[in-house]
Amino acid sequence: MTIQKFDQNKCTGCGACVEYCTRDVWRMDPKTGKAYVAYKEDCQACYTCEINCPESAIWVHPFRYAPKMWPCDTEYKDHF
Amino acid sequence: MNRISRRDLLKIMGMTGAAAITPYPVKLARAAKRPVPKVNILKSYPYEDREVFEADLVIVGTGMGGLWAAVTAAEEGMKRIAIVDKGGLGVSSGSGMILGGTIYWLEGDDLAACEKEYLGYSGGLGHLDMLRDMMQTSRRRMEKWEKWGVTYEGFPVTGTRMVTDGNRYNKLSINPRYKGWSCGRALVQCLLDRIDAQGASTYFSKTMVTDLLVENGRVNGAVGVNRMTGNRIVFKAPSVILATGSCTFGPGYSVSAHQTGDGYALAYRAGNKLQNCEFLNPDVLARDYNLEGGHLTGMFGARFINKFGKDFMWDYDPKRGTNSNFNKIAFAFADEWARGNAPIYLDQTNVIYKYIVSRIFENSSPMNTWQALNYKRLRETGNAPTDYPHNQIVLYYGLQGCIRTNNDLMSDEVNGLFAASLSQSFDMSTIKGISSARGMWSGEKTGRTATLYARRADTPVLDRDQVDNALERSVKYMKRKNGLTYWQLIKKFQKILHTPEIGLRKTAESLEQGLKQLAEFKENDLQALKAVDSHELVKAHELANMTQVAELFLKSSLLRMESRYSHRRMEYPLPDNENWLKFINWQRNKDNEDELSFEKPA
Repeated sequence: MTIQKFDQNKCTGCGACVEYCTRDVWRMDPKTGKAYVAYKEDCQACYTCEINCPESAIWVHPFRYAPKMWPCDTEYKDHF
Repeated sequence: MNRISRRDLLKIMGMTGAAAITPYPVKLARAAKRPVPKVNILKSYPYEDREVFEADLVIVGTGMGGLWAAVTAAEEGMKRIAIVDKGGLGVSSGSGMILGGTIYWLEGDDLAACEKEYLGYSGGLGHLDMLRDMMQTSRRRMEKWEKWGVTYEGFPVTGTRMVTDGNRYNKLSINPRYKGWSCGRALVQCLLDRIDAQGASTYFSKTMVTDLLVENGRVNGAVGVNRMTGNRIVFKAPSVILATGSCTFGPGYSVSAHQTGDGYALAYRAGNKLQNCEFLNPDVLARDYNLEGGHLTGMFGARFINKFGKDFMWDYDPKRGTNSNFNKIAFAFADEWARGNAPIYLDQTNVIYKYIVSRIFENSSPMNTWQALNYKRLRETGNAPTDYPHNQIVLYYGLQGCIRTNNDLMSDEVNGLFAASLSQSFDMSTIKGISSARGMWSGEKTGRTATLYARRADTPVLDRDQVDNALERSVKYMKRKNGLTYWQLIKKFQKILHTPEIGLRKTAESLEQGLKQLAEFKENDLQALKAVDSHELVKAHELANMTQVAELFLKSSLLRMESRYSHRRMEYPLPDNENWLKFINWQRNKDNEDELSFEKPA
């Protein structure tokens, strides 16, 4: 999985991750005023949210979802 | 850096200092953590549903092309610019993730050698006049970067003439820095700051342009939809620059997954010609993560191995082996697959200069950029490329097709339509730095020509019915109650497109079969595509656009009965300059049919 850790306690709701996410993975929760991962399957591990988070609340791992693709037709294994 | 001489190697070792003589596992003191640069968030314009936004220029896409266009147009005096991106501003393109190398030309440099090499890859099929223009004006853009505060430093050597396949012509500057950012991200951040300071632009992030409003061969604006709120917007503008990316038919690494041929589809539906749709840029990558350029470590002893552990690349490229070029590697992968030797791994465990390899990644992007973070994370979690052989896949870096324009990068068919980035086809992967150079050049050029055009263009008039239709079309996938979801369909679509026979071992038989499957897909599945929310809605549009481009890709591939560059027909293994030194153009005619035409290179 890509977005492995997200510390909601650190999140100040600045919206940097939401504004800059290239794949619309992050959304803002109007109730708590904090960000949350809405569409995790779309994340391609570009690190934009992690790099831009001023509170360092996000930690991304490079292994992302990929479909079965040749010439490697084995199953994608989640290493975690 | 295709070949590395002994002297270069010593230089690298000198640069890495003591590191090079230290055995790999010993941890060296790391450089002090750099402060994270402060991000100035450019807030997107919040709009209501069906709002009409008046502008002089709409720029679709915020890669190197789109951002340069915005900066140049504002410099030329344009006051109302709308910058639209379906992801985040500046970051959803490849520009934010590249190393930042660009080629430029100085007086006295051997332009002829550069042209020769450029045309060499495509066997003479290229836009030489465009290349010349790009090279001859490149110095100006480099000076602008410096004026705006970008500095160049770091690995390998700044301002040194690089040798590309024996020709000394270009200057490759790697590792630009700007306010604590590095690499491509520094360039993007610099442009975003410029745009912010100019104050002429309004930003529309997370907004996908679904239709251009074209009437009587003239652009009147565009219609878009917000993927977060679902609100639709109507842009009323006399000129539109399409600075969208390429098309990768689905999976890709982080940026190319976002490239779904939207610009091609928009231009095509508006009546513009598309060219070169049969050429793909194949790339090989680790399956689980996105670390580009693995094959470059071939010069340090890395190798691709097949199922039987054979270092097979030497059979396909006796000169360079694993450190070959993208096309040759991808073809080799396809051939190995056909021989039943798949899966294929990249074995970097016996890289001689393990430490140097890691330093390349760390030094080339010392700030928190994509590649550096990727490498760091892989090492931290015990999945470094040097830990064990990693599974490799072939994917399409992007279609090499282009939105056909004239030399001013303006459409011949639709007045007010401009195309940056993919306006005219250039080779992306073989001459290093050419794609960012092309982005800068085409962005600057369209920014200027679009300003000139918009100044004398009539005020756009919106046709109410046309706008209503476009607004309706932009949310049509959400209206469907029963149907198939994006995830069900994209897998089916990828099964058709991502096969070795369609991409790299093309035959008449395989292409015809692909076309048949795609027609079925279009008839049955795509008609049932539904979106549950606005997030899925944008992806539904992407899939429809990809299907459109895929059809042209297969049709053009079937037509071109020769092998050239990344287009390989198994029945015709050689280039045929007598019959096929010409571009294939597609255009949608008034009866909604695809019309074919050919064009000779200038």
